[in-house]
Amino acid sequence: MMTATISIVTPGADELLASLGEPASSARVRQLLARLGLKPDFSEDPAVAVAAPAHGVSLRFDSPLELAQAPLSTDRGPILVCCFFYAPGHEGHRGYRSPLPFGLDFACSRARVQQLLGEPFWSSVRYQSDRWNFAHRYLALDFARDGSSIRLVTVGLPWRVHS
Amino acid sequence: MKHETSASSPAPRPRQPWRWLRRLRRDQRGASLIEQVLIMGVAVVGMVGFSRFGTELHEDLEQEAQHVRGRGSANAALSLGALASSYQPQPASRAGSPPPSGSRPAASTSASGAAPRGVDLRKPSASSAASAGLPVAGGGSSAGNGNGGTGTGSTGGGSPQPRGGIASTGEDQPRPDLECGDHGRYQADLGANSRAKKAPRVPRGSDLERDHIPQGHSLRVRAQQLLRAEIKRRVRDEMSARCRHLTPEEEARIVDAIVTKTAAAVTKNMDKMVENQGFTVAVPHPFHENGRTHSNSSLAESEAGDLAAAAQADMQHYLDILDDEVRRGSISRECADILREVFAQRGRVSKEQYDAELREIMLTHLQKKLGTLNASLEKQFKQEEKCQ
Repeated sequence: MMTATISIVTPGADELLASLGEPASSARVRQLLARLGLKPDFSEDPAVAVAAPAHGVSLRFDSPLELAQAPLSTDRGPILVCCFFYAPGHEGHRGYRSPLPFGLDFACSRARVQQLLGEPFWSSVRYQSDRWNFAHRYLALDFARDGSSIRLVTVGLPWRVHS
Repeated sequence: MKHETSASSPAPRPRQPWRWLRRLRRDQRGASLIEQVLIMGVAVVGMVGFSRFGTELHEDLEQEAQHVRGRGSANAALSLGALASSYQPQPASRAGSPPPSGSRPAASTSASGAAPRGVDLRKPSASSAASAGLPVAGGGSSAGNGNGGTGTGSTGGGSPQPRGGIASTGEDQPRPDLECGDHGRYQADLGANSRAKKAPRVPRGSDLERDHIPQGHSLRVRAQQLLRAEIKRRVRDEMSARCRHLTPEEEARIVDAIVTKTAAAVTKNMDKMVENQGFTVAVPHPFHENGRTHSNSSLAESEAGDLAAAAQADMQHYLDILDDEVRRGSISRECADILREVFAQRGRVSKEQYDAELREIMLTHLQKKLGTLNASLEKQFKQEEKCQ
């Protein structure tokens, strides 16, 4: 009974983001995956994305070779490179119910977010999205068409640019 | 008076036909005959249909059998016609020295035995490949002339000219006999033309078969792998456009869209095209039967990742058994010498060269289907520098 209760608790944003750059084989990531009920299949490809709609979370794994900055781990297997937090109803997700990172809230408007985080590094009218770059990770926000709310929060590790 | 009446009001409708029809409806005589006629009609239509179906099936099976026996796929030129419409000629690239005299070397000495660079597949050769609209085997010196070679005229012997009494019509000419050691692309260089099945059957002078090296199944598997990689590359393009990683849902939508747009090309033509462009060598049937991958595609999946190594293994196996096969009489000493030379040339083709050729064939297909998508993705790709 105790185990069942723990398994449905959605991991907090801090916990998820702390796992960025961790190998999929690490105990921390395996525990996260178990809590989210996810079983990524890396047999064919290290680039795998898995969704947990019941938790409003998706995770993306990739080869460390695809990162702009190589992780400290010497593990050459897939690593967690990105976490997505979905607003309720977006892409069929129930919505992420724990507090969002960076003090954000899905109800925040685009203008409000810019007040909080400052001018974005990159903006797209087409996708209604903004991106901020930090030391070792980036934050990207997708907004509703009218910019009144956040639909998707993405926190990931910068990828390597292929020439 | 009658005339006046008819002019001022409609004539009364004759009642006779209705009475006849009412009588006919009650009349039971001849009912069985009508039923029989109807049933017979359906039966005759069915029989004709089945007969037609049987004929088509027979023809298809015969073509498959020809393909298996190494006489070229009947539909191959149709696929290559699709390639020809969008083929971009490339600078000539040749590998190794020309095959020894006595053989009839094919034009393809490019990396994987796929379309020889510099050959414009849109221009049919004036020789036996004319009806297929394809370049034909040649001496390896005429890639720049637009038809891929001199065809049968460059043979070192044998019976090079079209046979069967249907020469010079510009269509439906069976290809000349192969000679042991002939090599090149399966269809374009060593194949029969596409409409040969409609032409009179001409007995072949030998039982030579075209053996894919590496096996055709490996080529198809590798092409599919490269296709998936290409799709993934486009997913990365989209990631760059959005300046963030893609959610699983977005990725699935993109892949689905690309697969949908390319499904026809992938499922209908690409496999066949890849196999038809694959490098083959003409060997006697008994010798072919002892090949490493003859009637055995179980190695295809595992070997697709390195086609050069797969080809090397195939050729090494042949080299290992060559002397025994000569002693057994399944292959002549002359042909064995030719094969040694051909295999030495092919052994120099690298994994990257094999992949490059396959990718080119695949992209030819993809680009036809994805022209619009490519344009939009390339435009988006320019935003990448702004991301990070």
